[in-house]
Amino acid sequence: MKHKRPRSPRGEKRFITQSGITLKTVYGPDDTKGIDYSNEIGDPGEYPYTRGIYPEMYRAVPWMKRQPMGFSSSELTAERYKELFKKGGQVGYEGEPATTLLFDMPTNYGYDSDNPKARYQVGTVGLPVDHIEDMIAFMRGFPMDKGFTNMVIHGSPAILMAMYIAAAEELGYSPAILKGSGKNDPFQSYLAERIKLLPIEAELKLAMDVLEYCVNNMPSWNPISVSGFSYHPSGLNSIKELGLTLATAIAYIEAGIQRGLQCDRFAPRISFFLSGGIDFLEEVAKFRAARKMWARIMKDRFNALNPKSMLFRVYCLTLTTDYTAQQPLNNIIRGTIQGLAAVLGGVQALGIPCYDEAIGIPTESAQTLSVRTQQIIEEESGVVKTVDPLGGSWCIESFTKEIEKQVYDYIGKIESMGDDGTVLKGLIAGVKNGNIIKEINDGAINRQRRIESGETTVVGLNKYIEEEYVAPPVFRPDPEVARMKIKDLQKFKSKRDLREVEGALGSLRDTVKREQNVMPALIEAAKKRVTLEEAMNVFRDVFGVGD
Amino acid sequence: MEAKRSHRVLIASIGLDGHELGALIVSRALRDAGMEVVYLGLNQTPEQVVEAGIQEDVDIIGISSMSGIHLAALSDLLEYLKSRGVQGITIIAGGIIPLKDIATLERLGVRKVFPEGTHTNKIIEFIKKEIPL
Repeated sequence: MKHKRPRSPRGEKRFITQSGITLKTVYGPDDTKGIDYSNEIGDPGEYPYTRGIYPEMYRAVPWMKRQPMGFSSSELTAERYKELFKKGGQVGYEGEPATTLLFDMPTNYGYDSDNPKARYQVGTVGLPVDHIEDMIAFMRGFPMDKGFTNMVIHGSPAILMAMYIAAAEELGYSPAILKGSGKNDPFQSYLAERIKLLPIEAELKLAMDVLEYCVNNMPSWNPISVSGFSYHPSGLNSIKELGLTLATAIAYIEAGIQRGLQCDRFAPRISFFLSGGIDFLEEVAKFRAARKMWARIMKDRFNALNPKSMLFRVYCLTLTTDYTAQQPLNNIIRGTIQGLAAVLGGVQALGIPCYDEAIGIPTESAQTLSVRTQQIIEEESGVVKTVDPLGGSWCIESFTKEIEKQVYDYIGKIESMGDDGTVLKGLIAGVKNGNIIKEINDGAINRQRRIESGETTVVGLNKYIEEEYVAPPVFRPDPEVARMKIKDLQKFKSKRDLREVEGALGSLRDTVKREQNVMPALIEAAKKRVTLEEAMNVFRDVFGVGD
Repeated sequence: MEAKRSHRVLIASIGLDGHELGALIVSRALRDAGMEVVYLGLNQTPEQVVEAGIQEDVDIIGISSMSGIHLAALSDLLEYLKSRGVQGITIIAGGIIPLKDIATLERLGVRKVFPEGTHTNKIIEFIKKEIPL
C-alpha cells in the first residue's frame, strides 16, 4: 500500500528549505552513496576543506567576535569599541582587539559632511570620515601592529584605504604590518548596496589598484573581502547568494591575473563575508559547500598550487531580514539560531546583529547581548569541542552536495552572460543589462509575497501576532554632533596649505589619466589633507559617474 | 460618464541610502492593486520629491525611510509642500520607524505611517478607504 503523506500540523504543503531544496522524510546511507570521503569531504584542514580550513578549528582558535559598528564621531566610535572589547566582543583570534567599522552614508557615497547632499545623514548609521584626521582620531590608541581592522566600505574604497594607510604612517606604523580587511567589492556595491559612484569598469580598475598595492606592500591585509552577505537580505536565497559571491570572487581572481599578478601571490589574501540565515540545516551546509567549492575552483580553474589560495576564510554576519520589529525580543532567539548555524558551519569570524536593529540603531545594552550570545554558543553549548560535528550526517552531506550542484549551475549562468568565457565579462554584462538586479528584486518581492500569504511563517509577524507590545529603547544620534562635524571640517579646510592640496590633486589627476595605480597618489593626497570628496571628484571628472 | 480613475502614487526615498526593497515591494503591490505608481527611487531631496509629485499630479507621496532620518526629512518635505501651496497630495511613510515617532510624524502632517512588517494589503486598504479621489 502506498504510504499516504500525513497532513502537516503547521499546514505546509511542501517540506522545502528557504532556497527550495525538497526535504525527504528521512535521510539514510543511500543519500550519500557516491560521495567519496577523501575526495569530496576530507578531514578538517585537508583539501577540499569541506569540514573546515584548519585541523583543530575552534579547539585551537576561537572565531573572531566582530559586531559591525560606527558612530557619529571618531572618538565616540573608538570609545564604544573599547567598551565592547572589555566585555569580550570585538576580539580577534589571539585576544587582540578587532574592529568592523561602518561608515556613514555620505562617506559611502563619496561626499564630505558639508555637502548639501549629506543633509540628514552625517554620522547617522556609521562613522563620518572626511579626511585623514578623522581616521587618525579613530585609530589613535588602537594597537595597529597587533589589532585587526575591518572596514566595511561600500563606496570609494580606494580613497578610504589610502586614508587608513596614511593615518597608520602618521601614527608611526609601517603599512607592511597592518592586519585586517577592507570591503573592496564593487560588484556587491552595485548589486546589493545600490551605490554606483563610478562606471563599473572604473570601480573595478580602482579595486585592482587596491589589490595590487596591498599585495606588494601589505602582506597581512585582505585587500578584497568578497561580500556576498547582503545579496541574501536584498532578495536572493542562500544558494544564489553563494553563487553570486563565488562568481564575483572568480571575477576578481580573473581581473587580478589580467592585471599581471600571479594567482598564488594574491589569492591567499582574498577573504569572504557571507550572511547567516535562520534555515539552520541549509546554512550549515552552505558554509561547508562554500569551502569545498572555493578550494576546487582555485585548484582546477586557476591551477593554484599554494594551499592558502584555496582556503575560504569567511566572516559571517547573521541576517537582520529574519528579524521583526514586532515582538523584538524574539530576535535574540533568531540571532542565536543563526549564530549557532554559522559556528557549526565553521566560520572564522561572526557578528550577530542586535535584536533592536529592526527598530533603529542598536543600543549599547543590545550590543552587549549580541556578544553574550556568541560567548554562550562558544563557552556553554559545547559545539566547539569537536570539529564539524554535523559532518557525516546523511542530511547535511546531501544538502552540501545539492547546494554545490546548484551553485555551479548559477556560476555557469553568469559566465554565459559574457562572450569570452570569463565570469568577469559575464558579471559586467549582467550588471549593465540589469538582469542580476532584476533577479535580486524579484526575489525580494516573492519573499514578501510568501510572508504575506502565510506560506513562510514569521513568528510575531504573520503568526502568533500580539497587538500590544513593549517598544524597546531606541538609540538616537545627537544632531548636535553632525553640526559639530561640519564645523570641524570647515576649520580643517581653512587650516590646510591650499597649494599642497592643489598639487596633490593635480598629481592624482595625472596618475588617473596615465592609467597608473592610484594608491601612492591617493596616500600622498591624504597626507596633504585632501578630503574624501575632493579625491572622489577627480575620479568623477575623469571616469564619469555611475548610472 | 468618465471612467473611474485610480490613485496615482509617487514612491521615493530621501537622502543617501541604498535600502531600496521596501520602496520596490510597496510599488509593486500598489501597481498590482491597480494604482498608478511613479517610482522616483533612491537618493532624493524633499524638494525633488515634492516637485515631482506636483509635475506628475499624484494623489499620494509615499516616503520610505530606513536609516533613521524620518523626522528631519519628513518635516522638511511637509514644510516645502506647504510653501509651494500644494493641496490635495497626501503624505504617507514607511520603513524602520520607531513606535513613538509614528505619533510625532502623524502630528506633523504625515497622514499615516506603515512601519516595517506591515502587510501591503493594509496600505492598499488604507489608500482605497481613506484617500478620496
